[in-house]
Amino acid sequence: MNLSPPRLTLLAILAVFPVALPWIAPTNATLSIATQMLVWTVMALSYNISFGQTGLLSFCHAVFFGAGAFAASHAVNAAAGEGLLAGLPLWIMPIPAFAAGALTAFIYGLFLASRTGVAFVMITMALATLTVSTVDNFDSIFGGESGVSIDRAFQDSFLGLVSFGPQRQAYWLVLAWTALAAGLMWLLTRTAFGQLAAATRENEERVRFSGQSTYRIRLVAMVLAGGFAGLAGALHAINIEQVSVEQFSLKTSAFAMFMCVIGGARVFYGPILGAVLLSALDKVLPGYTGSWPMYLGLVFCAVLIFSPDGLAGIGKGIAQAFRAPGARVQVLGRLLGRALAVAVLAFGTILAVEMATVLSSQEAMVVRDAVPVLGLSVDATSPTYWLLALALIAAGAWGAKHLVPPTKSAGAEVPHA
Amino acid sequence: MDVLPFVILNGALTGMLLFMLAAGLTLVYGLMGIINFAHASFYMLGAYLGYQFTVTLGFVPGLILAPAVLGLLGVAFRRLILFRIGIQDQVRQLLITFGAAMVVTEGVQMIWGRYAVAYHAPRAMLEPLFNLGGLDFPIYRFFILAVATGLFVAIYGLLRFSRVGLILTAAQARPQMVRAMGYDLDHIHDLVFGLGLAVAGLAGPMIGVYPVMAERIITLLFVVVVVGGLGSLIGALVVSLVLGLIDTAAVTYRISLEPVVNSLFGPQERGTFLFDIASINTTTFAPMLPYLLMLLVLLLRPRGLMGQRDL
Amino acid sequence: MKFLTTTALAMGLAALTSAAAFAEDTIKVAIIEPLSGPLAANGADILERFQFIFNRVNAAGGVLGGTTFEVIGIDNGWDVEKTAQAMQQAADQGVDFVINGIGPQHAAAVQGFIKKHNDRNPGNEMAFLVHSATDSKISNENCTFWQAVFDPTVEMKLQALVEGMKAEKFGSKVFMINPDFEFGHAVDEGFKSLVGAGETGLELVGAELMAPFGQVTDFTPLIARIQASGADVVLTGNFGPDLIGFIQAATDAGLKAKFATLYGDDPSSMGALGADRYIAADVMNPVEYNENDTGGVAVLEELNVEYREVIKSNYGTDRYRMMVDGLVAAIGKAGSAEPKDVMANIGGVEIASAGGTGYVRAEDHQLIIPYFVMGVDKEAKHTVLFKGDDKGFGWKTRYLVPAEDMAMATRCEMTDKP
Repeated sequence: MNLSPPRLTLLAILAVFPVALPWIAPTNATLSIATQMLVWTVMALSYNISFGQTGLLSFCHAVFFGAGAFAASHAVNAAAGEGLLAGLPLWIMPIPAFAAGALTAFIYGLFLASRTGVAFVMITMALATLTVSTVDNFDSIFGGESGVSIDRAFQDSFLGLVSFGPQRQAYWLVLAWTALAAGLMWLLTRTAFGQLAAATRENEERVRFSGQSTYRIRLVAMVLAGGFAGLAGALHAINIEQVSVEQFSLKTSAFAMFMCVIGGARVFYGPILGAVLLSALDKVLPGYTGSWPMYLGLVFCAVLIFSPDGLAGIGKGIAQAFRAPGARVQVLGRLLGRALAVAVLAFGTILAVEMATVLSSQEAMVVRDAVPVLGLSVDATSPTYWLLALALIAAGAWGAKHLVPPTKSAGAEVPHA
Repeated sequence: MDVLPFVILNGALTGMLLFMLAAGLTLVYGLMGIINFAHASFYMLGAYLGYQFTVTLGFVPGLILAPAVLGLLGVAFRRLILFRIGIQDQVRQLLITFGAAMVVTEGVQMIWGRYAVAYHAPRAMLEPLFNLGGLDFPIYRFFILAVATGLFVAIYGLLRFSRVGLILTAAQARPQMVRAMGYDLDHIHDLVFGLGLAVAGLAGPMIGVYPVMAERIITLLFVVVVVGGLGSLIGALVVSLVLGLIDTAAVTYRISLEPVVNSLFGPQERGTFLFDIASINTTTFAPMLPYLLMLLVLLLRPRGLMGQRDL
Repeated sequence: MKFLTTTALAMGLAALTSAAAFAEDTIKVAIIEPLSGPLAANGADILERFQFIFNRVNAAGGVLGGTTFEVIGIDNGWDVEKTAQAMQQAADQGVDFVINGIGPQHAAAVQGFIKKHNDRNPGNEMAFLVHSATDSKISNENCTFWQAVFDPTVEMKLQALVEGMKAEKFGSKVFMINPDFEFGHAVDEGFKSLVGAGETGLELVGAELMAPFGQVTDFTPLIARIQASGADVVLTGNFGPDLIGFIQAATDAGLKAKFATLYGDDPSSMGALGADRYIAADVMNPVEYNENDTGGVAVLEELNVEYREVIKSNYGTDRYRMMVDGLVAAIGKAGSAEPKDVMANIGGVEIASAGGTGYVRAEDHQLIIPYFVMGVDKEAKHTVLFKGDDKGFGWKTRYLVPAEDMAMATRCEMTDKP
């Protein structure tokens, strides 16, 4: 790794910033969002163990996440009570959660590891749907619609200092665990096993021919991925103090998948990017627009078609373009051109989507001719604005098509069957 | 009341409804190898379009226009989007249809709002056709049955006896050979994809129009396609009917574990583990059955009941 | 370079979210309801109604000599965890009063959060105003000083319905269908215990729970079982798609049974089913208000007209106005808008209603009002109007339950009075 002074300063800032956040932005809401980002970072990284690294697109990943969340919640409630586990501290809870996630992944993996590609995807969908139906029935364990709630401050103090009640204390706890988990997962990519898993993704037959059992490789990968997902679940329970069977759903798995794809599944920090960006947007955007899922879907499709390596891929492409010999000015010009085209396209799309949402909404008190869009006030009923939106979309699309080269990224992008 | 004929009738109706939706999906997969996650979302779009056309133009025009529009959309979707992703990269294809599903579903809710729309079949169709065991069966349900059967016959006939159908079937097994013989597979694929979605568009308005319809049904459609066998129309029909019958039977004959648990442990209080075990009954179990089936098929016989190749 | 972008983005978002959304010096009210997802319609409607009523109060001069209310809506997407997060948001924005009611699980989550929050942040407490009582536990075992419930409990509504059915000789053999989640369980058990107590004059010939929230699409087997049981009345707590599909299937099949519902007055169900089906099913429903019977109360006459004009919907629900009136009265009594003072003074507040005067019971902060049992009326003067869409029929009073009959005993013991 290149440890030049500029890089070192960068890394130093990145290490210090999260720790210092509670002093930089002390509001509970910000810290709560930041904690969520951390939870999703671990979740996305765990998802990528099976997806980016081993080439397995899974829709039942959320089951492991949920298993960890519920394990942690029950453990906390038991620790707060008087039985066997009374007195167990809060900070240790991610460990039983990891175990729960790993165990569940092992059981499921026995079925899953024998298949790859689309068959694998289908099996995960079937397992996930079966799981959701089953746990829905067991109110005694999963709490029904209300779920299970905990009080993370059940112990009055840890080392006489903190109770983890206030948000900033919970944030630091989650931060510590996130750093540990991310570090472990990063190390995993460096091990022989990690390389082997990546090889299985690229060319399964070859790996089998070299004498390795691809079944076992996939199983181990799933168990590790499940374990870390369970850990993420515990962190989630600590942050929100309320878990429900909603966590087992296909939607949760899909969200993790989106983070990996949009962030970039090929590089280790890709899912981190995706997690930070998407979880922040998921918290902030719904306050400004009702169409956030629409934008997410559009961005997802755009990334799949134009930049299959995600944001990390874009960043790499830019860095490469700058390093290549040749006129820097030209490169910069093209870059700016592309950025402009994308911006125009985005603006036109947002305009159209926001106007459509307002027009079709049925609340009488909604104002139709002064819709706030990115700081402007737009009249959704006027054809002029609609023509403008369509023109922007057309212009942006044309510009993007002619300025963005067709993508042929190094090596295959997302695994094929 | 004589329950068995009721179960068979109701089950067949439910099954045929499912078949109408799955037919398009299995065609597209079998002949083009594309798993279209967005199928259910397009079906939802068809339903809302059907509702819109019915409201502005009438029931019959709605029934004709919705599939037509959807067929065209299908062709556009394939050409603009799926085309860009190589046919080899199945998982990435799956992903893009997943993204498309999200966009279409959100788009429909954006345009038509998040309320269930008041879609009513024409008055004449609501008259009872006959009465079985004290319950009226309105004409409407048999209209759906007739359309679904007609659809099956038409598509099957197309595949089996028409020239286009023969080319399609050949292209499924040996695409290079068919191309070498000079046929333009692209146009054929357009036809299949468009047809698949048009059929979904026909099914849409008949079933009921509400905002969460797509999410509910997409996994079930995959079950039909996978268990029936990829590309096999008959397989899809058989599985749809079986699932419909099982669903109706399970809900009609409500067998639960309660008597067993109560006799062993006494009546249980709500919120305990034993109560949850006791409350397991065929009604809660029935929705799980299709997925269990799919799991078994995928693990033991990946080509499904009547499919030509493995998944 | 990538890292830097991420960092910059993160910092920018942090700054964004720190910005306060509320102005100073107002009483901050947050309405946490589903504004997206399957129940978005209901959530948006409720938000609009509260905004309308609070605007009226502000226009009339506010409270305490000029302080106004500021109302925001926070989406919980019908997800319990999002509700918890929405509460976090509300807490940080300095919200004083949280309003919620759709879904017992969400009310429970809000209540749980408020208890922990008030415990950890003395001086910055929040209070919870519940507009729809679908969870029995929050009114009984889990009750708290920091909440007030402005809707009769499930048991009270059932009591009203039963009295109405008796008075109107609505039927004798009851088949009960409820959605299989907490609310449905409460209805199921509540009605069974009423029948068991032997005073209803009704016979329960069947009771079932069904998969909720639109999962059941084919109701025919259920209709068959109802028919086989010989029931002449169906009692159901179903709402939304579960009710629409149910009544549709029943009327299609020509089932000879009347419907006693708890959510039959939902305008979207009325619209989806239409007047003919409602009349065929002879729906009876208990509610706190029916605009065809204002009891001469002047403000209700005004609201009937005003709400129709502005919102293009009929003013068919009155308990939101009752809640706001209760809140305003408590603030006046306390001389302060601090949640602690308001909650200490909300017990005993009197509430005007169409059926007579009601009050907030001090023991459990529960609203006690006379209750109407309504029936479908095709000749109603005020028909149901929803977002400009007139359904063509309305409701009439079949029986009025006096407030004393509604004041059922509670198991609440408030242990957290500050």
